Amino acid sequence: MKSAGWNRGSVRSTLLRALKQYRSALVLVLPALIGLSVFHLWPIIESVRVSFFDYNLISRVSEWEGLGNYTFAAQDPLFWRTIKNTALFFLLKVPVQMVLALLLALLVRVPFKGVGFIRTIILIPTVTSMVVVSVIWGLMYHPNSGLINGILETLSLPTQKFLIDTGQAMPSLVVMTIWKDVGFNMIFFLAGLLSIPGSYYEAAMLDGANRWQLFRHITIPLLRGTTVFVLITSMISAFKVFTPVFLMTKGGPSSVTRVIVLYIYENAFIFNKMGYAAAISVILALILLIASVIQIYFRSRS
Amino acid sequence: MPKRLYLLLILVLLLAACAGPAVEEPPAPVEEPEVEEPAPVEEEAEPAEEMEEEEMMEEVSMRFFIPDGGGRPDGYNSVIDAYREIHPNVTIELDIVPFGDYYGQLPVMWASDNPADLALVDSADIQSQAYNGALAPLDDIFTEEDMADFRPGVVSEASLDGVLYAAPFGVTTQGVFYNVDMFEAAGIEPPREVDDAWTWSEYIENTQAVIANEAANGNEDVWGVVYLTNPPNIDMWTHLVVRSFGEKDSPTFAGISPDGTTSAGYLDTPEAFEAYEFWQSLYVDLEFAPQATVPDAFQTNKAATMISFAAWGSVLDIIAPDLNWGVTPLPYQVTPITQMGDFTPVVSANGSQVEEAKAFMQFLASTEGVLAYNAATNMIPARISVLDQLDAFSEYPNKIFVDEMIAWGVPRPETPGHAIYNSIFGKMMVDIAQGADIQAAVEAAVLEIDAQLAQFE
Amino acid sequence: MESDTHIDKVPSKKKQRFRPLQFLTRGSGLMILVIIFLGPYIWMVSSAFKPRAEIFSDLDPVSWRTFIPVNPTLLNIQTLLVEFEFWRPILNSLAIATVTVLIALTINSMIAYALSRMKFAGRDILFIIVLSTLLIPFEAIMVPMFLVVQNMGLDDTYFGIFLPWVADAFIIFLLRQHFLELPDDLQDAAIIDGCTPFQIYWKIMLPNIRPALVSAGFIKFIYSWDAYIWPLIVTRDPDKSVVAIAIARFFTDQDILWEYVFAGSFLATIPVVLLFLFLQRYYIEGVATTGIRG
Repeated sequence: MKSAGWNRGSVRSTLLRALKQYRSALVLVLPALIGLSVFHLWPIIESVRVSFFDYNLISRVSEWEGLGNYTFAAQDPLFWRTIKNTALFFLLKVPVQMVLALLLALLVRVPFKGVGFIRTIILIPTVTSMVVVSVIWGLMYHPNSGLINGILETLSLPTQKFLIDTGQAMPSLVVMTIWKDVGFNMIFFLAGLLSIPGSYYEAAMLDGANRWQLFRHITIPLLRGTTVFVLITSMISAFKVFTPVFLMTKGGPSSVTRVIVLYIYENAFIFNKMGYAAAISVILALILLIASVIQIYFRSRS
Repeated sequence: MPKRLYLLLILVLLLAACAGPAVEEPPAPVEEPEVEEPAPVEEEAEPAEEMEEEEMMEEVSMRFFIPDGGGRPDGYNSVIDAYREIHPNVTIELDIVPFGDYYGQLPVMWASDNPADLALVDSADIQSQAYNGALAPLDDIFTEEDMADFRPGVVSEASLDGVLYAAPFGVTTQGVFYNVDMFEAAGIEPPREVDDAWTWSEYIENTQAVIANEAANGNEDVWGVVYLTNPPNIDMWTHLVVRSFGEKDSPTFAGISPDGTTSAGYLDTPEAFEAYEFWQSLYVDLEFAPQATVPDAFQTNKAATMISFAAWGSVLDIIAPDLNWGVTPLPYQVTPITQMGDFTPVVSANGSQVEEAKAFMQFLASTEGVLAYNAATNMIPARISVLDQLDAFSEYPNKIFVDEMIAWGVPRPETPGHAIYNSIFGKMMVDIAQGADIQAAVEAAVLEIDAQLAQFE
Repeated sequence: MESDTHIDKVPSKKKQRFRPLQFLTRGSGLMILVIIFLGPYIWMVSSAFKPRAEIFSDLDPVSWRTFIPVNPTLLNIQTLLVEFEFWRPILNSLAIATVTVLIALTINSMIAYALSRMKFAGRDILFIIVLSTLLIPFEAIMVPMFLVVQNMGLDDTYFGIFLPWVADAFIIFLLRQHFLELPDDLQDAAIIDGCTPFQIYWKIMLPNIRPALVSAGFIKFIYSWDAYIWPLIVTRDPDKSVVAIAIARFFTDQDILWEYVFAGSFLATIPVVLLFLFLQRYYIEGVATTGIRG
């Protein structure tokens, strides 16, 4: 966060520099900022506005509700249930996925014969469309004739219900999404690992450090920026999970996989309650914003 | 950034850019910019009479929003071609949306600043979209003779508070497709006439005999019944089982209160619970149907029967030409039933060319329009008088679907909140099939449905 | 699990002895990895070459027939390309993804550099604002977003498909983290040499986060390649259709055309896999790792 070397010289030249820098910063910032403002920030502001209305998407009739949608959310047991389901999805998925992604990145960091092939293979699930993945995993998880149950049967183990069992549906979904997304996280860890200057390792090795010490005292600290990035973006995407759930369980069985964005979708496009859908989205965004800022703040301090 | 990478990307780009125009079709007629602000929803535009007098020789270009599949694009294009022979100044382009996202895309399309002029709406959702002001009333384009010629159930579904919002066009019903070779091997011949239809218990008993016979001959793991997706999650498939457990005029058969806002007392009757028990036994105790989808089960001899629409027969002829299949009417418990319904054409109330769209709609639902559609795609017409002119439905197996419609056909439960009702009820039926506690599942679903339907009171 | 990758890089004097046990465990470990990640894909590929009747009949019980077509046919792919003109959405998606990646890398790395290594008032607030665009679910803002695009007259154009997605907070965040991690002396040296901020960004900083840029570009490519709901909302012209929409058309209310679903999905993965294999050469250690270039 600090940029040394900019504060030298007289007050006058510092001011001049600051001005100049402001201008060049503006040039660098503007193109992306315009894009984000027009296509993302404006719709978000619109969505925040709508959250104070009772808004019907099709009839386009809106009535001022004030905080009505928010107080309704506070008392809506279904909303809390979807929050709980989503949090469970996040807790089950993200830590495991991050550890696996880091291990895989460490494995394929070494340039051995065929490393490009192995890297590509780990990415194959990521680049295969979710529609096909959901079909394949649906057949693997099939309660009556699935591949996994076939293996369990061969090993004389009891067969399982997977996606149609209230206890197993969420973990089953988590396993599938980890398989799909781990390569995605691995790419970031790989890029992070490759950015660590090799000279650091060489110096430490001259001091007689062993592998674990290298990992603990060089890799981990220097991977901090990447880790924060992966953690925050995985958290955000876990809380925004929709497509795999929509394709595989539609929120069932008995609503145990009914996640928050599914509920937003239902309210917006099935229940005719766009205002309420917007209010839930705003609450979700606020939760994620606070969580992200805390993480960024703490990591940059330590 | 590596230069070679940029170069490669630019090359690909150029390639795509060059390939684009080279293969483009002759330029489509320039679309007229439709900048006109849509009128506020509350005031429904009264049909302007003068439009009909005018000679509409100026170019008119309209968009028709339809779901892909079921031969619909071919069918509607055929009608559009016939219409253009009379009105060469009119072009209508189909916006063809993948079926799986059609229900989600429709509200987005209505909410946009430039909605399509015409659209197809699942007949059960017409009342909901009319209630929300998306649809233009169509009373004035049909004569009394027309109205008398339309099948009453279809008209009722297309109307809200006595006003017609969709053009009665086609009807689909459901039937049981069965594997003729398997049934013959077991020496069982399913009924071919609606009057002889099996009850659910007869149907299960006979099909189980077929399965046992198959197993004895080495073909194990044959399912009794499958649907396109399993367990089915829309009321088109599931509700007819539940409704059949009630008497003709009972709350169970109705499925919802007459004003369409209450499901308590309709979905949780003792007869309905009997139906739920039965539905669960199909999946859990009897293992008659699979608890998760088995793709292509019927055409790969992994299922003895499949419940589907009439159009499934023509699909089978293409994808499994060697399969020997037959059709038997839907089984019933107390009251025989088939649920009518189809994607039905509507005119957007907020479009800029409502009158032009209505003029096309008039043609579409006329005898000529229906015949033009059927020249490309088989459809059971909602016009009673046209049905007799179509050979495709005069013989077995298609005749069964028509006979069912005439003898048993009713619309799905009518409510302006059908999408809500269907979504929650559909999930409940899946939960029950997958072994959920019936009492708890039904109570939760009824509670949620009624809470959501309160907005229509 | 080796964190000591540099042992390999450091010129070692003694030759690595062949250890059969290590070779075996490592080999079988990689084998399991390949099976887990590649198994379902192989099934998909083989299904693309099977006649419709065999796609699911070879599935239960699972055997070699599941993964290797007994009667391989090119008919699925041929019909897909000729009759359904699948090459058209592939070219569309390719062009859209390419343009998106090029613009996205440029403008997002610019703002990411400013947000990480330049000092100006409100910088951190600006970063939070940028980040906040990631937080609202797309389902909640797609209608207002569509209205923006429609009012700009961009609906049913290629611009409408990709323009809203070139500025991407995800990419900005990723690149910012990598800029932050570069050693300060890199920048200091450049300042002493009298470089302007733009020169520092373009000549010094950008080359040093090359692995991150490659990752960002690749991720953006996948995002753009997989895009489905947004192109579906924005475009009506079937000639502007993208890959995901073309595949979704095979799911209808009457039937699911599995043979084309699998063949299409297989074809759709090829450009992405080839791209990643090609990018391997850039997944090497950045300039900063081998010393400072000034």
